[in-house]
Amino acid sequence: MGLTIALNRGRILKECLPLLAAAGIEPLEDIHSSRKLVFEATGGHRFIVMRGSDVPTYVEYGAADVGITGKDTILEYGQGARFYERLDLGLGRCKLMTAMPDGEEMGDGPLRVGTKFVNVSRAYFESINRHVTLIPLAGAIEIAPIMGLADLIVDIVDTGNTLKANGLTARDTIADISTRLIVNRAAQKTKFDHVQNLVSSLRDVVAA
Amino acid sequence: MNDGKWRLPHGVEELLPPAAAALEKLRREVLDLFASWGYEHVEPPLVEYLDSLLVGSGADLDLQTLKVVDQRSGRMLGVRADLTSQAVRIDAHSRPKAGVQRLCYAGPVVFANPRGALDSRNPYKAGAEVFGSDDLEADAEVVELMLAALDVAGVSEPVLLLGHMGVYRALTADLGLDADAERKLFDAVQRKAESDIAALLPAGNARDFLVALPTMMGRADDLAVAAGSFAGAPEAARRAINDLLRLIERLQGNGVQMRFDLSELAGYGYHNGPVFAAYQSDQGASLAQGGRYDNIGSNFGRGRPATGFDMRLERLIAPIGEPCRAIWAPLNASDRTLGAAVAARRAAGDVVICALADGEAADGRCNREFVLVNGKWIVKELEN
Repeated sequence: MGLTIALNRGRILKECLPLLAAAGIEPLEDIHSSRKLVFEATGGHRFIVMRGSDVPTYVEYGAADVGITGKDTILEYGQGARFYERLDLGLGRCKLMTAMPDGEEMGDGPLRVGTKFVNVSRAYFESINRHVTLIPLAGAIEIAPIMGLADLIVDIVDTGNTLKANGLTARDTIADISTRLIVNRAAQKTKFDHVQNLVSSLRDVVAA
Repeated sequence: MNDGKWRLPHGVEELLPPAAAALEKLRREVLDLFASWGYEHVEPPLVEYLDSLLVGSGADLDLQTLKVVDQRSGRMLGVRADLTSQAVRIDAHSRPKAGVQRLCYAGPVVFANPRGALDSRNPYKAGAEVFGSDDLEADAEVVELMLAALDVAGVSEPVLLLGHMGVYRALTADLGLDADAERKLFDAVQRKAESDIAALLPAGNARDFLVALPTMMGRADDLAVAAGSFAGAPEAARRAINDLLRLIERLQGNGVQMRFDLSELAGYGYHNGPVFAAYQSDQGASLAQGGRYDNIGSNFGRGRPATGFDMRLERLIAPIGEPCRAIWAPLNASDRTLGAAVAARRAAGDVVICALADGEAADGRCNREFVLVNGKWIVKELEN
C-alpha cells in the first residue's frame, strides 16, 4: 500500500501536481475536471484533495500520511511537533505581514487586529509585548481598516497590490511563507521507504 | 427536563460497555505482566502538590496539568498528567531502596490542554520504571517489557523506534542559545524542518550537524553507516550514538522491526539518554514511549539513574462485543434450590443474570436459561 497524500485545493494543487509528476506520482485521472475528492495515483499512492486548513489535521491524525500545504496554514494550526515538515517546496513564496492604512502609526493605545490568522497573530503580538484585541475574519481582510472595524490587519502579502488598492501599507513581516511537505510522525516510521522516496525525489525536483 | 446537564467537558471521554470491561481486562493483564517481571505496583495519588508533579519537566507538562487550590493548605494542587514524576518521588523519598528498584503503575491522568481535537483529556496510562541502574541493560529490559506489554494488548508487528537525547544535547551544548532560541531550535528539530533549523543558526559545524540531524534515521542496521557522517561531531554526541549502537545490538533478534531516529526527542523534556517508542502502521501516533531520565530524583533529595516507559491503555483496547454467553435465571422466589444452582454456576465462572420480575424477557446477553425439569434446575439453550 502506497501513501495517502493530502493536497491543498486551489493554487497550491495546480503548482504541486507538476512537482509530484516529476517525482513520479501522477493521478490516474484528471483532478481538475473531476468533482471527486479521492484519486488513485501511480505507484499505489492516493491523493485526497481538501481545504488547506484541513491538511495539517489529516496529517496529524494519520488520516493522510503526508500532505502539502502552505507554511501559513501550518503556523495557524499551532506550534509544536505534531508532524514533520520535511521539505520546503519553495512554491507560493510570500510573507505573512501586518498592514495599516497609509500614513497611520501603531501608537501605544489599544489595537484591534483583523485577521484570518488568529493564532499566529496572538503569538506575534505577545512576542512584541503588545496587547491586542483580535477580530477573526474569514476573507477580504483589507476592508476591515477602511470600515473602521480594525486598526491593523495581519494577512498574506504577495505583490502588495491588493493592499495598495485599499489604501494600506505593509509594515512588519511575521513569517516568510512557502509550501511545505508535511509527514505524519508514525508514517515516517512505519512507511519509511515510501516517505523517504517521496522526500528525496521531491528534493531533487525542487533543487533542479 | 433536558437542560444540558448530560454534557461532558470538551475532550473528556467515558468508557461504556464493552470498552470499559476491555480496558479493565487489559489493565489487569498488563499489570500481571509487569509483576511477572518483578515490577512492584504503586498507586500514586491522582492529585498532589503542583511543584512535586512538575519536577524536572518542561513547560509542556505545566500546560498539560490541571490545577486547583488546596483549601486546606492554600497551596496549588495539580491533577497528574503523567505518573513518571510520581514514581520518581516514590523511589527518591517514599520508598528509597538501595540498588535497583522496579516500579509499575496504571491509572487515569488528566490533560488540561489536549494537544489535538482527537486527543482525550482523560487518558489511562500504564507504565514501568527502573531506578538505580545506569546500564544499557536496564534500557534494554524496559524496551523488551514495552514490547511484551504491546503483545499482551494484541498489537501485531509494531515498529520499534530508537533514539538518543544525548546527540541533540551535545550538539547544542556549546551554542550559547538563550531559552527562546533553544525552544525554537528544539521545535524545528522535532518538526524535522531542515530549512527552519538552518535559518535559526549561524553558519558553522554545529549548524551543519543540526541540519543533518533530522535526516539521521532509518533501519537500525544502517545506524553504523549513518554514524560515519557524524565522525567530526562532538565527543559526547559520538558517545551517545555508540550507546545507541550497543542498545540496538543488544535488542537484535526480538522479532520486531527496529528503526533509529536521532532527532526523535520524546517526552516532556526530562529525557537525557536513549529514548524509544513503538508505532503501528495503521495508527497515526506512537502506542508506547519512554526513555532514560537520570537524576530527576535529585529534586526530591535523591538523584538516581532511571529509565522507563508508559502507554495509553485506552488507545490499545479493541472493544469487541462480548459474545452472548450468559445464563438467564427466571424469578422464582419460592424455590430456594434455584439460588443454589445460580451460585454454583457463578462460582464455576459463568455469568448468570437473574430476572427481577415475573415473566421478564431474557437479557440480550444470554444464550442459555435455567429451566425446572423434574424438580431440578438445569441449563438449556435459550429458545428464541
